[in-house]
Amino acid sequence: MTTKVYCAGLQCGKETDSQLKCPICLKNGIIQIFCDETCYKNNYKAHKALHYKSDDDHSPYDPFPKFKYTGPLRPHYPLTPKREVPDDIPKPDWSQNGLPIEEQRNDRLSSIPIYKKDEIKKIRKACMLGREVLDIAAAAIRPGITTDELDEIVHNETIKRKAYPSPLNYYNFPKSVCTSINETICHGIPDKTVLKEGDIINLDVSLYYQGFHADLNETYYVGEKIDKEAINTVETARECLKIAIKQCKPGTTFQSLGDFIEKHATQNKTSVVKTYCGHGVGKFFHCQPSIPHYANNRTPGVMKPGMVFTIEPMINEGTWRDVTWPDDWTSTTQDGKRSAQFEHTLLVTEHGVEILTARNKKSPGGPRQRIK
Amino acid sequence: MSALKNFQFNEDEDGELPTLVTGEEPDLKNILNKSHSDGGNLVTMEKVDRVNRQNEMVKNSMKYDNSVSSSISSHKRRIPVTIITGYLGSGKSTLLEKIALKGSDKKIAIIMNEFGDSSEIEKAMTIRNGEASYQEWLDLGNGCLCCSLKNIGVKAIEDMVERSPGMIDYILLETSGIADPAPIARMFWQDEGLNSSVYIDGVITVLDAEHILKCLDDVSPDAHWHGEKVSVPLKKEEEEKEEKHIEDGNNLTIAHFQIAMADRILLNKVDRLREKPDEIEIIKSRIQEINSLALLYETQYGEVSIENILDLHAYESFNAMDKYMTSNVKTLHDPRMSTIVLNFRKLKSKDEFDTFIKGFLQVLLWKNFGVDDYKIQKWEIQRTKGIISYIDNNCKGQIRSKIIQGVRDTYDIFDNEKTGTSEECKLVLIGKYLDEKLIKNLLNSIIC
Repeated sequence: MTTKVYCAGLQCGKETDSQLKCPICLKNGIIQIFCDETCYKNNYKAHKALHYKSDDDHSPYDPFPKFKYTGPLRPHYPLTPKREVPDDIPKPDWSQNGLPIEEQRNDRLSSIPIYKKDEIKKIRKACMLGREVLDIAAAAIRPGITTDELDEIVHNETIKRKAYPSPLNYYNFPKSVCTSINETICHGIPDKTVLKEGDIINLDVSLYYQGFHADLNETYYVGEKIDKEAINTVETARECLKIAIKQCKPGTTFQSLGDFIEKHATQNKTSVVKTYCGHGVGKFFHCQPSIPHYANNRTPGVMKPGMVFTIEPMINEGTWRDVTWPDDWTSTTQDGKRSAQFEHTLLVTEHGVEILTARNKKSPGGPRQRIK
Repeated sequence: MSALKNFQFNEDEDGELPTLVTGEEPDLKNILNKSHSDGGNLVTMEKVDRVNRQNEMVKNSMKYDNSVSSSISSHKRRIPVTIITGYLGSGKSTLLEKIALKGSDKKIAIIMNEFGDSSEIEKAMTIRNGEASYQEWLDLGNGCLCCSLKNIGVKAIEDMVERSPGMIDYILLETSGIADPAPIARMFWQDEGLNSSVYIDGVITVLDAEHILKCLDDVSPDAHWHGEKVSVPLKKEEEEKEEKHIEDGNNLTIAHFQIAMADRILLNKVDRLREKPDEIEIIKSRIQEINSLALLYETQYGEVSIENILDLHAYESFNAMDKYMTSNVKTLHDPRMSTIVLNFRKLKSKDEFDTFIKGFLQVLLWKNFGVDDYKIQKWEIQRTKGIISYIDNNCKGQIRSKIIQGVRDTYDIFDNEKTGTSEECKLVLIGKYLDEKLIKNLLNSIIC
């Protein structure tokens, strides 16, 4: 049996019979095949993330040494190569070259999808799988593990369930899960960063199963020695999501959710991130409605049975302002203080709401008592 | 629609491009020995500098935030953005040039073309100060700001404004000839909570007087104007487009949308019609049928006083109403795109106001957003403007006056700061297939 070979260029990804490999990777025992020199050239800046700093220094390095980081967290490159997804797993259109064409086309429609029973069944299944994957990865969180190792777990558990990890190559995101530590608000890229006692880390798992996406995340404590500000931020974020979900039922406007979330955040001396929002999910990874988490927003729409969307408040210990790293993904707080987030995929039912990605008794993590 | 990021190899930063190998080369060991690890330099130094500069500025402005909560720093100077739209050949570029020269007391940034539908990731932008001009970079960063509220283009402009305080006083955004301005206007019309460094001032539509009627009537699926396709693609899969076009009888051109969204209309090149004053009147009434709210100026060579087109605050105030009343020339009604004006008594209470919003405004605007009482109706509102008064029973019967602004499905309500305004209510709707009778009945059922 011959295995198919795909171009390693994140913006190509086509099947190829080329034998041409990156010599730098090969030297380090990594096989990265490109269609031709053009593909290599066009994808070089992304590919280079796999290279060591120099031949004799294989220690993790900061690829943006001149960047003024807002907190102590640093990226630790090189990244590991893009993980493979078996051919028999249905893939979203961006898996090949990074561009979500169908999603972009759908964006022009500007309407909130209402799902039918059979579609909801599939979304429910995807969400169940998403919960399983998140729980397995979360159970592995401990001081000493790297975010790349967590990525490997998420990736393998996802494909084991015949699902595709939605973040992988979405607009060329290089990994299968987002791992956001301490001051990272969201979209952290798994790399060689080692978790340490006292950190908080968010795992944001999304997967695509039989044509439908599930999306959920939770923030976890690393180890036992957690300071009181960290606990307050994480618990406030957890409560904010819970409070917002309580409001969900047919007739609730999406714009009202932010009022409840911000009120609770402010009461607990934390702030609400404004740049990122909850979103419709299901047939598309991201679609209408847009659900901001801050007060007095004017997002359109009213909940109706059959709508599926996420709520995912990001709550900051200090300022609500965000800064994006030069990798154009990692979003951190402006003041370098911690940020926590929780997310569920929700279905509006006739009389209320169903949490499709709900925790079960065995789910790791969960609330801790605030310290006075 | 956004494109992907540029990952192109750059010799200056990346050194020599390594030669790909099959692994079968006899002198492989030699080749590999010559290939050296080159990690780092994933982005340009200039980019890191730009990001650093911007963060520094934001950090400074944060000092004004008086608490960690979402208080809006009032110190921040917001830069107006005027969107200039119109077909190729209507005179947009001449107008831009004129504004740049006349507004020489202002440092005007001009952003050209295809914004919001950009295939380029990094874009140069021209900043004009009278005759002088220079370029500034816009970082369109990643193609994706998924689950983000901001469009990448808007974010790039905000970042640029934030890292160059005092360098720009005004932004003119010229859309491509075939752009529907509504999505672009909405991108820039952000709620206050987002604390943007820019705000939308207004939309100016430039029309070629000689050709506009022909443009409005040419609705064949492959209607072209100066080589650009101007019929409105239906929001369906591309493949189905042709078929559906006939089925739905969309019958609209981009010109309809450009006129509908306009806050000011320049009927340009009127000199070409000097011999036919009647035709000018016909054109004007035809345009005002579509959009009765926008002030219209007859111009030649884009000559117009800049006070008439800049600093309009068209998304905040509601000035154009008086003018509207006098310029309503009745002509043949064009149901495809038209203006409806609703005048009604002040609302009796806060409750009635809330019912008006929920039972009327949301029903009109949120047809595809969960309020589908009238889903079968073909109407689609492009622009909403209104002034609504109600008696605040909680506050000794004081009269509250509110402004309503809307672009498509998004609307906002805020206090009318002008005092002494009429106590009557007025709502103007500009949109596709507006069924005036049905809409009036719906309103009457709410405020009976």
